[in-house]
Amino acid sequence: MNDSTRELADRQAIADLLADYCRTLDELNMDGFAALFTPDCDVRYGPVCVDGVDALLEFMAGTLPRFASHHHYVSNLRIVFEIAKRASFESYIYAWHQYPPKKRRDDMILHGRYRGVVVETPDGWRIAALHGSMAEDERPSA
Amino acid sequence: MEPELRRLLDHQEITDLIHDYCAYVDTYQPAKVAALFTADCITDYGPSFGGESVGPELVEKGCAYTLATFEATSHHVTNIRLHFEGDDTARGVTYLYAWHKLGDGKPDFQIWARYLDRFTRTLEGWRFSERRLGVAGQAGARNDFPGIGRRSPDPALLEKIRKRRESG
Repeated sequence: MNDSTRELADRQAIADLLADYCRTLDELNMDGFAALFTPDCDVRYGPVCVDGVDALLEFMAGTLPRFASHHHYVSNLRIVFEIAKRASFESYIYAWHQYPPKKRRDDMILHGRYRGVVVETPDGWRIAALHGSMAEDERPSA
Repeated sequence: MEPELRRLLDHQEITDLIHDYCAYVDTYQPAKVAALFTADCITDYGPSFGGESVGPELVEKGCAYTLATFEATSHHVTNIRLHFEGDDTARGVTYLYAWHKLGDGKPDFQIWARYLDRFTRTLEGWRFSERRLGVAGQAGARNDFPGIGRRSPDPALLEKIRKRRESG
């Protein structure tokens, strides 16, 4: 495989990884979700810092079941290859969450950004770092 | 051509097909939507929209009728995930956010969903051989849709959440 084909294949594999992040999360397939991360992953969702995949699973277990349903959409993906087998990425994230009917709360919709690092392992590309932020924080201060 | 490059080109062509479907739906071009499907295609957008049907003629007819009930639509697709089953067939899962304007002061109809697809390479290029809809949630209507297969949380965890809510 020549270098150009290799890079295109890696870009697709990284896009697939982030699509799998969304799908495993939305299906509450937590074993599948955990397998997408390096064991020592660095994850932040706004001010919440989660170190390592075990802590990440614990965080998700306490968060996602509050909702009756949710769907996470990754788009506008940009990938920069830093060195061999390592890349940084930035994407948009649109996350819709529906509360159980008895809660009588409007759907929670988040518009944000994911920034992070992925590394190529013997098992394929994995998420080493993922930092989530809100779109409201992207615009420069007046 | 390297097999890996062929696969990447096929991936892009199928992605273009998925995007074309949205573009033709949102510009109300039912005949062009139907032309994206194989002659023996199967489609299923849920019980509220006719259930399972076979053939592109019914795709065109269904699109023409259903889309005419809306003043405008916008179908946004992301998270396209394809799995090739040989050189000429593939299956895929694509996330969908679809907005539909009903007009007449009625609330917009929205779905947060996914397409479950099968694709076949034909002489005219890749085409949908199967397209089904799974819906995570909807707003503005109470249509009957298949779900997305979300697993159930641990009952002990749900009880813990319930007690935490009650304690404020």
